[in-house]
Amino acid sequence: MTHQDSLLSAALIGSSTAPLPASDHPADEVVAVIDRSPEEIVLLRAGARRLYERAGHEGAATGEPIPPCDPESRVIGTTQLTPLLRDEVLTGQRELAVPTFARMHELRVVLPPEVLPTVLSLSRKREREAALPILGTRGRWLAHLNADWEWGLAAGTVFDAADATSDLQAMEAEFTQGVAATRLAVLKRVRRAEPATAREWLNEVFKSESAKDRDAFVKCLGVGLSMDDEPFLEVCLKDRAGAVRVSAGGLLSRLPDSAYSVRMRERAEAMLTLESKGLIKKKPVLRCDPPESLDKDWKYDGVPEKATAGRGKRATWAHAVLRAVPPHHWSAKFERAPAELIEAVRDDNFADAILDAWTDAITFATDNVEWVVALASIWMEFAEKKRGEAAQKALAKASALVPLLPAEDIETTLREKLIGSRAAQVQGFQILNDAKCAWSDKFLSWFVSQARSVLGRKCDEMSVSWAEALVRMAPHLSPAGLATASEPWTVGEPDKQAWHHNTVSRHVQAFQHTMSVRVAIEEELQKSIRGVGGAS
Amino acid sequence: MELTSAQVEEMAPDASSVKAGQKLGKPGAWQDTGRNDQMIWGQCAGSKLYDVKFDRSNFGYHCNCPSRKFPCKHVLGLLFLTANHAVAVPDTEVAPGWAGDWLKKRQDRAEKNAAAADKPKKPVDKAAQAKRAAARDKKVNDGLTRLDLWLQDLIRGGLAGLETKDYGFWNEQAKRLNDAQAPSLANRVEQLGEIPGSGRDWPSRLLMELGRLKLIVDAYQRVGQSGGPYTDALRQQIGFTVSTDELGERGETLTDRWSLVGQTSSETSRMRTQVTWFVGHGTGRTGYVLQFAVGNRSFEQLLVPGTEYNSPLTFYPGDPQRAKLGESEKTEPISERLPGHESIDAFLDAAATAWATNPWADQILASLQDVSIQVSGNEKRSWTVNDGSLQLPLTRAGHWNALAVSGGRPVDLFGTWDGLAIEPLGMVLDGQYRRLP
Repeated sequence: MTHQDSLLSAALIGSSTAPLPASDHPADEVVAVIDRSPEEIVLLRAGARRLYERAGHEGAATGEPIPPCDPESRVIGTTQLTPLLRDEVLTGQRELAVPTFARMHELRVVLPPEVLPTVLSLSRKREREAALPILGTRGRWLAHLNADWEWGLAAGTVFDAADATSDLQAMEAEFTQGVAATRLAVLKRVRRAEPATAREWLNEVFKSESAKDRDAFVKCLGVGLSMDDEPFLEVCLKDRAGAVRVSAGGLLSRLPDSAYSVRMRERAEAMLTLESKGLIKKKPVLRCDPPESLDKDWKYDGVPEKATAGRGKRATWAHAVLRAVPPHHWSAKFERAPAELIEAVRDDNFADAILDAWTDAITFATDNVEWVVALASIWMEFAEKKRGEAAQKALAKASALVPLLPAEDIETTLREKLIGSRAAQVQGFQILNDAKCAWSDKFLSWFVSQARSVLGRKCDEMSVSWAEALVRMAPHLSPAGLATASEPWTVGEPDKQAWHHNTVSRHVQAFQHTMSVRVAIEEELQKSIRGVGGAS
Repeated sequence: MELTSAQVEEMAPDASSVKAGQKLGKPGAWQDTGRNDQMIWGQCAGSKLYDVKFDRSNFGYHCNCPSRKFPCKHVLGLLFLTANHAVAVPDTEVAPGWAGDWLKKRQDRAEKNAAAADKPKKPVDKAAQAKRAAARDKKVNDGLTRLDLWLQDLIRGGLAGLETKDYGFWNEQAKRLNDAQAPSLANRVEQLGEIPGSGRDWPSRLLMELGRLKLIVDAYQRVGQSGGPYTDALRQQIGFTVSTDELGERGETLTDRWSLVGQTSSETSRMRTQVTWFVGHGTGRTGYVLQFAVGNRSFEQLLVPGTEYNSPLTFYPGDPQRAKLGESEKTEPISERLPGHESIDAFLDAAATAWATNPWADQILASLQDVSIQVSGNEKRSWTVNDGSLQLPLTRAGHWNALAVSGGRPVDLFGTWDGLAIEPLGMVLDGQYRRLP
């Protein structure tokens, strides 16, 4: 028992019960000369020891120090950027985080050191992906020191695609030994430059990976996909994990000469036939006749055995097979335009499954704009004619196709709808809301100008939609458009509903606040590039 | 000098004021803003238009809002606006009348006060003063005797089980000491209540603190009233105050360029306490300025870490650390390396000497040159400062900000050392001061 333990024990138990411990602690000598009660001796010893130990602290020998961080080769953001990022972007307006990080990446500016711990502690995937290229040397150095920040270790492997494979050996080591995020980033990077090498690396480790990782790695093969990948993907069709089989099938369906695509085409052609009906005016009619039972070869190719929600078995099989065949195959086979074929199938019992399948398939055959336009049109028509959930589903399908259209076409459509009838505006705002595409600066400027005009005139229900969309646009306006957008806004007189005016005013204030934050951030980024007010 | 956002946060009386100030620190809330070498001004649109002014030379301020918090959210808002949206507070040579007039009156008042301080004071009734002092001494001695008995009772009965006592158990003793006019001891006793149950080693920590109290009581009763070398230090531990006149007569006054290197704040049920640590460029002297504020009142002096004052500073008699900072005409940011210990070994020697001089000091300022911040472990992290030969532990966890800023390079670190660990308060890197955490 140490000196401290015996004194402490006596104090815990109480001097009325425990005897005063003998001690030869150096500090006790000071108290030893005093003739006092046991309680006072305990207290005085404790006080003396406390002072002795604190004043006599000798320090410990050093352990292995952390090597300091290498100097940063890129431009570092100014110190004034820290409160803007920490207090405005990462606390107040999170929707600004990804666009701000993207802008910093565009300007090749890395995060100032003070904000790195906050950014490394982010948990949202999109924010981490956007922050990765701007963590810089210091961010990566910090990530090495904290296991909670290991996602930051992928920084430096994705910053410059240009020097992708300067050191393949080092990258292979990162792929085989790194953490999950690093391995995926490395594989994608190598796949862009040397797809065969990436596939070979993957082949060596594939069987020992978890199902989740196998699926993620298989999806990477979508980059630089070619017929050379067919043997590997055919093996993946027999994977024990359903997700891997589906991913492999999706990739093989993008290779029209692959055995898988040939098999699916043959099955689809057996199902779908074009007839001519009508006595006087013949009109084409597409008939779909899926099999009554499922062949086991179909199962091995990823066709689900059981019916999916909202469909019968045969519709499910038809959908699974047809989605593996690019829609332009049918316009070539039947020598009909996409709009004709869509019209031809709409009365079929399996029309819903077929249109869904063609919509799914078109996402991999985006060069056929005619099919994209035709499918988007039919879904828009359904959105207008149907009700409730069916209408919403149709509108969602149309919106999902919008990003596949040339940006000019989407924006032209939106410009027409947003200044059109109330129904057209409702559709327009729905597309605006659902379409996950990058709007052109020209469109954004037009939108802001239009919103200023609409909101300055009146406050009604449509004004609320304009104001809500304005707030959503705020993080995406180009830096060149910020000055104009920051000019003062006026809000029109309310209609009968006061809440319209209140809501619009609130949204406009929020928009103005976002503009002021973005202007401040842009100023600091420009100062960073000029070398003013920098961090070190 | 330009205040940073972090420095403005430090000026706020509480966290809700920081939030309110940040909300107002946006361009949309202000009109007629501007700044020149002497001041910053602006009008904030609240329920009505409030005129806000800030004196850049000594951080004085004024707002005509009815808030009872000082500084109010409008003052903080103007300073946040200046720190984060500089473009919104343009450089303007001449302030508008409502702002310039305030500064002029302020400067005139300062001159008047300086002149008044030079006037001779009224004579003091020494007999009445001695009688009051004797009455207080008796109260204090009686209070200390009761405290001593209470301490011994705790040891007699044993410390085990004290974790089940509520705060009233400790507050009762604290109140008695306040009644005995021993407020500093009352504060210590009140804080004892936070130790039981606060970690596995609470009995050891509590015993050490009780022992420390006993040393103070014993020392005061035996030598603290004799006028000897420890009298002033012990009287300070009890809670005797030193008047401005006495400080002027008996304190040690030095003029130097004083750099404020760190600050801590704490709060009890009765008041807020602020401790601001400093280093003198020429003298190398270190110490702290202690301020108190009751309720929502602001502290008498607005002391911002990272700034420097060319002014006289008077150390309290008997305490080589505590000091009062005189008025300074202007403040500047810290812009160069400060004096400090070249090694941890040298610092520990200095600390031992400091405690030998004043055994009752809670903390010493650690001003360490060229030390690196280190972290080890993952499940249970350990933080230290390291000079290449020795290392000392840092308090608390999570010094990631300091590590991020330093990048593992040597820095000049300032913090408080209590004999067990350093609480980092600030560092100077590349001639620039950074507040921690």
